Amino acid sequence: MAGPGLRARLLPDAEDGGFPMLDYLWLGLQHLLTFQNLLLVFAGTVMGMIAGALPGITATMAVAVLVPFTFTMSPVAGLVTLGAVYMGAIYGGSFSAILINTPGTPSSIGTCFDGYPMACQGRAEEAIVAATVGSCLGGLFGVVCLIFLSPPLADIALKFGPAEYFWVGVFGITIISSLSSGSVLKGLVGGCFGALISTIGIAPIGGDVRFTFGFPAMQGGVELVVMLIGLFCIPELLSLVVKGEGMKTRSEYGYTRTKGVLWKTTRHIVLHLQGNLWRSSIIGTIIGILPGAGGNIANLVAYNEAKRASKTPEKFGTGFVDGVVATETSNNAVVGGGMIPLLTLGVPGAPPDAVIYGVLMLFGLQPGPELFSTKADITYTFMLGVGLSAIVMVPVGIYGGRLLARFVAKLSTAYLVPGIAILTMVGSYAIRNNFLDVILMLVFGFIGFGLRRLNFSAAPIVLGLILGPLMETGLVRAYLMGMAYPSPWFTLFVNPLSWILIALCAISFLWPYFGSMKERLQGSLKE
Amino acid sequence: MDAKFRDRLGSAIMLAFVAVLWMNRGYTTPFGGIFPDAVMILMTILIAASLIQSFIGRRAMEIETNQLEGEKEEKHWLDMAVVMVILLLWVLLFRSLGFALAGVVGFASIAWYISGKRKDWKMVVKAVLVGMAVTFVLMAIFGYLLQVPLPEGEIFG
Repeated sequence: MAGPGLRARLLPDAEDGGFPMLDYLWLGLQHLLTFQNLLLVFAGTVMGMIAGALPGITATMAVAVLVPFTFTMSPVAGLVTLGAVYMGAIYGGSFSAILINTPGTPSSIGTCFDGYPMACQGRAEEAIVAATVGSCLGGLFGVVCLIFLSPPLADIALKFGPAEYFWVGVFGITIISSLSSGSVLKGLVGGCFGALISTIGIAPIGGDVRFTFGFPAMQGGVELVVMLIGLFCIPELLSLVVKGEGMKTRSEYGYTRTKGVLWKTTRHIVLHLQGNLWRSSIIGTIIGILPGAGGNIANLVAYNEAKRASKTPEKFGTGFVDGVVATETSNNAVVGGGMIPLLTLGVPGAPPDAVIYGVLMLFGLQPGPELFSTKADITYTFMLGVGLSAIVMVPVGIYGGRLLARFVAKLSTAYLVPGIAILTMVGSYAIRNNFLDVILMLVFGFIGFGLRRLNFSAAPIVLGLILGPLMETGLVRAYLMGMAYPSPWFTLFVNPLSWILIALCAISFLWPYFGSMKERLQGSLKE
Repeated sequence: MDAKFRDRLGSAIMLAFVAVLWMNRGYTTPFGGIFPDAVMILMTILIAASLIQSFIGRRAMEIETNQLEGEKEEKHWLDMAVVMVILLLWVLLFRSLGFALAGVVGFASIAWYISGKRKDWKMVVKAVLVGMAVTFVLMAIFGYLLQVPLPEGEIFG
């Protein structure tokens, strides 16, 4: 059954009689513009910026440790807060990238290339303004795409059957394995590991109790948010212990404000760097849509493309404002882009989206077409809230940036590490008031740390954990439907949508090998 | 520990994990094992391919290089091990001591240990005071504002 098209959604007199998008947007705006939600957007943005500005604290960690604070909030309030934290954290990473040449989050690696040289030349304020304007515009672009692309994609998802959901899960794992750091094979092994962990407990079809090893408490399975907190926070926390001495450079944080720089820089970016803004926004949004690829990839791709398109590529890396604009625009565009597959298919586009997926589950919200129909008021309020946080970042960053830099400089790693530890413990306990969750959080944290030392990236594991139930339900249902055919696996391959998804899986799996074969061929031709 | 050795050790550990799960299948319905069995078989094939790649591949892929060497590396590994032990004890004592006491002790222990000023008694006092402040702020936020009860401790409860 096809849903209403985009045109029908936008026109107020839609023939299908459904609620048009503009009406949902108006409803979302009304829900968002309440004192409570506006305060939460502001608070979330500020908390995200502080976390993002601290080297060693990733956006994923920031969202994960703040999840417990949303448990007793309404779904709208909780999601709006976390969306603002996410957007703020990605932007906050630019401060440390510019001021101390250390990316606050992996999404700001590229910002160091030109941002820090600008700071060394006494142009730190110009770099911060460029990062702010780029982040705001990129963030807004991503959210606009989220608002207008998600509903039609959700309609396409209505055509998905069990087999298609299975292949979507497989595609998610193959693409994240090829895009994440390390070997493709190890990424796939990690994805399978995550999928196996998701089978602990009661099977979704059949009711088998699996892999509990005689512990009744394990019958409920492993709580997703507990695992996410453990896998994303504990390894980073332990890495901070190792890198602790390197944090002393934060004493160099700081910059002065000069009259006229704000206006001059903003005007230059908006009037003369439009191509850069559009290109970087599109790159960030598209990369955000790809499961597992986040701002860490987007900012580098956007930087390279800006350099290639520039008439003065030799200036990149010397303190060129175009470089800062490219990276910061793209990494914030990822925020909206990554939520497109999350809200429509339940496939997180970037690691922080995995945490937001867990929160959606906690609030009883199932990603998919339902979010854009019966739960549209919550969804549109959330999307608009993320967009609002991109705007709130501007005055907070411009006028509060120096204060932020000073606060972050004073915060010692000796208090940061136990601070994160206590938040992870209270967070994992607060989900179900269960001590086992705290123990599991720490166990998975240590496992995640160990696996990282053994070259297994966390992202495929997390995606396997999230997509495991989706893949299992799809596979088993397809098997059951296929029992009417000579082979029960027939239904996995019969639908043209399945062929497209299978082809995408094959391409994403083989792409890195094609790339390295091409490099070797070019190398041998040169010789 | 070089990168190829880490690759092989990682593969061996994953293989052991699959073996443990395979030996503990015990499904009661025909449908309960379709997905886990398929994943375990696929995972075994991928691990085998990864192992073969580690033996014949030109270079191992690293996602994190440890650039610390010699004494510094040993010191940092020791620091990390101590923090891991403190975290483990903190979690195990969470139930019996309660959130407040376990929080203050755990927070202060980690802060004091990684501060590098272990012989300075002022650091101990500062760590305890900051630990108390953080713990009580969180208790206020979760207990009163968010209405999420935190454990009082079996000793005191």
